[in-house]
Amino acid sequence: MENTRNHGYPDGFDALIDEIRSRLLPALVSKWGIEVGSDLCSEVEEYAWEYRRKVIAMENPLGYLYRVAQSKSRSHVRWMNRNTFPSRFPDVVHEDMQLHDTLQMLAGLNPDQRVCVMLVHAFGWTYAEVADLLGVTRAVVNHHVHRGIARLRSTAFTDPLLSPSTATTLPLEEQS
Amino acid sequence: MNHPHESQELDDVLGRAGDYLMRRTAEYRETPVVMNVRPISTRRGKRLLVGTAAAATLCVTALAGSFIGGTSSGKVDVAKAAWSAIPSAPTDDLIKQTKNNCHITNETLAGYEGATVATFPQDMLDPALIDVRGTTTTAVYFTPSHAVLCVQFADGSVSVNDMPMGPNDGNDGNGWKTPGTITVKIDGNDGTESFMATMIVGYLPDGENWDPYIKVDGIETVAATKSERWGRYIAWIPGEVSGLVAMVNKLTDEGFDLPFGPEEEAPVQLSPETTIETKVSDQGVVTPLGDPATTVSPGD
Repeated sequence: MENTRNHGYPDGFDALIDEIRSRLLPALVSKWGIEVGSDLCSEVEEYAWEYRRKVIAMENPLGYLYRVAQSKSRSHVRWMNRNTFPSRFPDVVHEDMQLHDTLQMLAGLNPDQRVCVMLVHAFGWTYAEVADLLGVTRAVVNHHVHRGIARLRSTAFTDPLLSPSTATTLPLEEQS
Repeated sequence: MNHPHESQELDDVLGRAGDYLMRRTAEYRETPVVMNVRPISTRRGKRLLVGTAAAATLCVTALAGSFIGGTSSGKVDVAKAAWSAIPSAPTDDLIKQTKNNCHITNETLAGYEGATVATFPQDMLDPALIDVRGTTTTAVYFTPSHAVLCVQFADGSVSVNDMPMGPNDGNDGNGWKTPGTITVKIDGNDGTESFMATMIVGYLPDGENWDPYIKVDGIETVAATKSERWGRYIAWIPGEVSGLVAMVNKLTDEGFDLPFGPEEEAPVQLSPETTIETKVSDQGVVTPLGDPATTVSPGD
């Protein structure tokens, strides 16, 4: 018998697509970069359309679709060897140096730290929401956020004049 | 322990990073990105929405910046020249302004052919390619042996450079030539830092529906501006870079890569001193100063 429950999506597929674009896309872009993240989002939308009844009926469709994106990312990253999160941002280097440096340092975080830091500190998600999406516990999100932020602080905002003995500015190559 | 203002500063810059990523994502997807509307009860939520609005304003400002020009305001703040990986379409006004400011004439093109006088067809006196990236517009003219690149900055000032580029006789055995590059050094004003840029001009393969993309390690893919009529393309990237031009056929999904690298010659200097002063009359006629015999009507 067909399952007709629409958990949280009374408007059906259109509402799900809105959620994918407004909630899942920032997570995918934070983890895999603008190009691969956007392409994965399009693939996830196709998948969601193909299996719409099943997906809409799920308790946590975005979490499920995030796992779908994770599976599909392998073809982009391993086989096509595409750049994921870029390490150079020439369009902002002369406009906003602080933003440029921060983007470069974000590129140096591991992908899970980056997605947790961005969702919590840039997109305003709660730890519980991030945990639901990634399918991990809040403790894991907490760990990723704190490790990521500590790393950004250690490279971004250490004032060598104030604390010369603790300055730990790492070259980007070493961070990754 | 970190100071509260450090946390605030980090939150602010991460907010800007999020806005930047979503703005670039919207450009890549060529669709507006819908930010999720959430209850605004926290400082972070407020900042998120303010940040989004600020990004939208910045985007509009950057676009408006592309349309500024035609008259010179003196110094060129080229250090703030914006760049984008995906070019925007030039407006009719921008095309007219670029033509007027570049002021490419029969005599200009004749100089690249080693002649003093020559008459070129009208379509060679018009830009074959106009590449708009942020506030920087590059118009490319072709002579039988050269590509003439006229770079126009946000305030309408221009700098003209050239690179050898003959007809596409397929002399590298593939039926098309490898892309040509020219490295330019763009001066900043008032002591601001100068920066290098690599301009890439090349030929499209035979047939239609080929899209050229520039791939450089560490940078998102750059879309080139192409003209199927001329069978050529142009793109530029900040920095002295090497990489690949990836040709992709929209219809067949065929593709191949062509390597490019920085030229070995010393970089050309693009400095604000090359500004062409212009005067606009009440009737809208733009007259380049210093060349009173030449008058260009905006309707041309």
